Amino acid sequence: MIKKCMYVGLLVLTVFVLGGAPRFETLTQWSAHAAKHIEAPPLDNGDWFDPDFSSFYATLEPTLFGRIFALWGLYDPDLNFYRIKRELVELTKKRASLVQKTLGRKELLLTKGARVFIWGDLHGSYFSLIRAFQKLKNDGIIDEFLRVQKPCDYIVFLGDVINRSPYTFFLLEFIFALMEKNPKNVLYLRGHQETDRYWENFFAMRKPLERFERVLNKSRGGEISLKEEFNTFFETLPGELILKKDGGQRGYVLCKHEIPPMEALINSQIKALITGEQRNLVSWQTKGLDFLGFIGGVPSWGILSCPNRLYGEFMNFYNDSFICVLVGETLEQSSLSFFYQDRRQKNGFKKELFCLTQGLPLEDMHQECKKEALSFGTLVSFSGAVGSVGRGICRGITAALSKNNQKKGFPFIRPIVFDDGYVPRRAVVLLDALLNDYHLNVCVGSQGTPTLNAYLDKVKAGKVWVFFPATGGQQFRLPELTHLIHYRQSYPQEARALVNHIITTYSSRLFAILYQNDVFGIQLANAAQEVFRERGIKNALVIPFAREQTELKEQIKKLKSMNVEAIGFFLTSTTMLRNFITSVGIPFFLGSHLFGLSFLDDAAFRQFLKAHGLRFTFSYPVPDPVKSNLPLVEEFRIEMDKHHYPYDSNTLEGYISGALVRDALEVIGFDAGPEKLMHYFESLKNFSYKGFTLTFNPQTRSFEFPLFIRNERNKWHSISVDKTGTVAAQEGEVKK
Amino acid sequence: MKRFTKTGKYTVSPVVQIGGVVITSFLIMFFFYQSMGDVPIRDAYAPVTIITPQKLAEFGGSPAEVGVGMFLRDFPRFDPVRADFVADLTVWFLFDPRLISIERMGDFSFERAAILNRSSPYVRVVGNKVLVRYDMRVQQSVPFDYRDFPFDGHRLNLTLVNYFLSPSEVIFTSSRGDLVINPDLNILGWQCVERRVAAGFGEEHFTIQTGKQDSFHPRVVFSFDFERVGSRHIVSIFIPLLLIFFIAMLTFSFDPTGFAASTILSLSATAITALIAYRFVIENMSPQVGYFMASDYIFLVFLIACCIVFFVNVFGEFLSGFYKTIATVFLHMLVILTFFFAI
Repeated sequence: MIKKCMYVGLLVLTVFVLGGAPRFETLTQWSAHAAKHIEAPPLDNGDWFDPDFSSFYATLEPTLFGRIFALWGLYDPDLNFYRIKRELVELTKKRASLVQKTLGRKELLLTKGARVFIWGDLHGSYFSLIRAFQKLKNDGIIDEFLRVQKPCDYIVFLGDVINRSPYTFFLLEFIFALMEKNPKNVLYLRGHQETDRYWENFFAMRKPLERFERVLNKSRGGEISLKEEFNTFFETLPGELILKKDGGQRGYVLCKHEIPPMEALINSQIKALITGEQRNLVSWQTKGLDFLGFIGGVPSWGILSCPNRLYGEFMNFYNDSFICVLVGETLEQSSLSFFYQDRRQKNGFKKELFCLTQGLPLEDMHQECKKEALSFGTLVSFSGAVGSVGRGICRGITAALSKNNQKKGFPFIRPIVFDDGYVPRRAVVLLDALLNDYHLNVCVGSQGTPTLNAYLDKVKAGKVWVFFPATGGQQFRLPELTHLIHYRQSYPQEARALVNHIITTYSSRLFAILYQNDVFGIQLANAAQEVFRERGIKNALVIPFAREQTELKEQIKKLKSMNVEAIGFFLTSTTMLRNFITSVGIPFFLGSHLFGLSFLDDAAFRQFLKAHGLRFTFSYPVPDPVKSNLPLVEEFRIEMDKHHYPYDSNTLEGYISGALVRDALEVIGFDAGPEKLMHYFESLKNFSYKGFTLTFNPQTRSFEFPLFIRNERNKWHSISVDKTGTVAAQEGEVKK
Repeated sequence: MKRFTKTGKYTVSPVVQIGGVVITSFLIMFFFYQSMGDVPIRDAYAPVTIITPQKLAEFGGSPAEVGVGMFLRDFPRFDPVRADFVADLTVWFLFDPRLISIERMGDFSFERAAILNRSSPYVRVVGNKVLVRYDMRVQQSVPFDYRDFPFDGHRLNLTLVNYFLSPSEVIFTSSRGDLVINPDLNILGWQCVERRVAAGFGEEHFTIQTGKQDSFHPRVVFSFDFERVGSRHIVSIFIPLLLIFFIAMLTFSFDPTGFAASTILSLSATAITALIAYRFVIENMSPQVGYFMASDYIFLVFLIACCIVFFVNVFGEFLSGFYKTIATVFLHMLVILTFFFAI
């Protein structure tokens, strides 16, 4: 009897010890476990978005007896869903009380010297995280038992920890262990994958779980499935993290997996934004950390920390990477250290240092961030039909200012760019936000005729200064508009130049004009009709359409009603134009000469023209961004390369706006106000500026910049405009 | 154990016979059970090239993102044997109408499928976007891969493509959650066990006089994995074959020198005839394909086994019970191994 009791006791003890123990205690054990596996197992499918690792999982699957023993805790297979479930349930229970308090948002009050180590999207990069933690251990941030050594040090995972790798479950177990040992100092934020069961859409995690549940026959009701346990756990995770400095300092750093909507970023209290992978914004080869610019005025960073097989194969990304935010005297004086190493070479982590709130590199820890000299606002449209134009202008301005900001001894200029969506009423609201919340009354390079028109009364009233907006609206070129200045020619001048060019070059007499029926398009159409009258062209077809119109049946019918030799498109949306051309039918345009303004010249439209074999003549306010060797354009290309931005006319237009302001401030002093800046520009006469000659014309509130035309054979011509705004008949090729 | 013959010189022991039947039946049952747990699907996913960030950069610009989804309502016709499928479904697109018109979005089609019926677009405004929905009936006649028949699962791919758009203008985005299957969907004899969505683009390369031309179109592949419900096909094909085989094998236990000599030959010949006759039944249940399926291999093995039994019986008087026992074991092994490799 005693013997029997002893056997039963031993069995219970074994079950208790094996069944309840955490997986590994020390980092060395975790490292040894990782070393047993290959880092980049092959995919069963070639799908980088939804990889399938079923074959790999099959190698980890225990036998029938193994599964039975695992159920009783007598055997601990490598991939043990019973163990994961146990850990998950315990952790979820502990977190449940926290969740009710935080409501999806977690705040950390940081003292000077506090360090926050942050990982972006990990996507199951178990090996990479283990290597990074080896570094943390070597640097004394954590100990062998994964305990954070200082209470003011934090470890943050920005979400999207899971999926796209077969090691997701191991990685989660490692993070569970970290959270278990450091409940206050390790934070796991919810990412896209962890929200609303999104992870269930992907093979990498769902398939092995479903197989596990199928084996146990649990998916058919009864006991809660492991999938549900995961979802319950993910729901306990905070969606965003607020880093605040103690001592009552205003402002905070926002950490969140995704970039919040623009409305949420229009908040002068947000000093910086740290996000996960931003694939749509980063079109260049990333090292793991990217400065995304000033989104809504907020300096924004994107981190990618997943050098797994997929990201290596499809994005050529192989870096173990993470960042550390070191809190300074203030948040503005805080630094951001970026650590990275190539996982293929493993030759030690390199470090780069940046100013957290300015995006500028720092030479060492002792170098302070720059003093902020001034900020100015820019209202452009990132979204909708003219989004590509707005993005280009924004990139140009950012690059132009970045040149100044990187210079030693020069103060920092911050662009605060808002997305008005090309909606006039929204532009007014955003301008009010600039005036009242940010206390800014200067706009540089703002885009859009209808949007500027909407707040023109404020410009007239002297409440806001507008420098070099990306519009050629004639109504903005009146001598009394002393708070406005342009460098580009007016739309009527562009329209006249284009029509004259078409008539002269192709001897076209039968014209059609499709124009946007708003303040932008009407003046272009009127100018074109003036030229028709002057050149004795009769019966030109003029077809208006509303800006938000989506169906163009009437316009198509009208256009098809007559034969035309040349068609002018005075609209801002290339998508609308593509739709129109396709709906009319490509054969209709054979032999016709098509022309329009630079706003139509984006990459998608170029591809469209190429695909359909169509040729187009464009007018531009700027020279050829790719080939021109004017000093300003060469400087533009150098700055664009630094930021990995593509060259295009919209970007160059934004760059020139930013460069003019930047270089003027360098001359008159960075503490000069907008009034002094305007006086400086007004005083310029025959001023040689990096290949251009600037003379201010008070009648048109504009410099006499040349116009440029790219013809159907992709040749660029400059067209001079005289002081009265009349386009000269002579055309000449741009001097190289 | 008493034998059918007084001497037992030319016969196989009933113990061997019964043992063979039991072991063979048990193992085959086990293989069936295993095969039902992990049904192989040989049909490939329809090709789609996934849009990676590099690809997006190559196409240039920022194309309009169009969310695509599908609700599969019903299969009014689902005939995998004749590769004939008719699906009632709803396709929806969520997009910014300022970036792409409803008319151009409506130019979509299904690859290798005919749209039998399509409703006019049902449009609803959702924030800054529009949700455009089409109710439609689609017929697809793409043959499956039947090499594992009747232990087969199949994958049906519905590829939505818009040949009038390019990925530089529009990219389709969709995930598994955007493919919803009617929970009340009931397909006779089949069940949908998995679904998958892959969005990307398709490529076409052709050469014309002016040089090589590439053409790219956005596409979304909606895939459905099906398994047979129950084991009716398996049982109705293989149980008669097994029974015929076992009956033929029993003739080894009859004494070829005794009163049952003629019965032995007629029984083993009848087994062959019965198999050939049953072939017509199997043929009726099988898909009409030009290659060999698992059922064909198994049938052939049974036929060969029965022929061997017949020939052994022809020379039954010259072969001792020992050799017949070896033949019995060999034939049982042959059948077991055939099932092992075929399933």
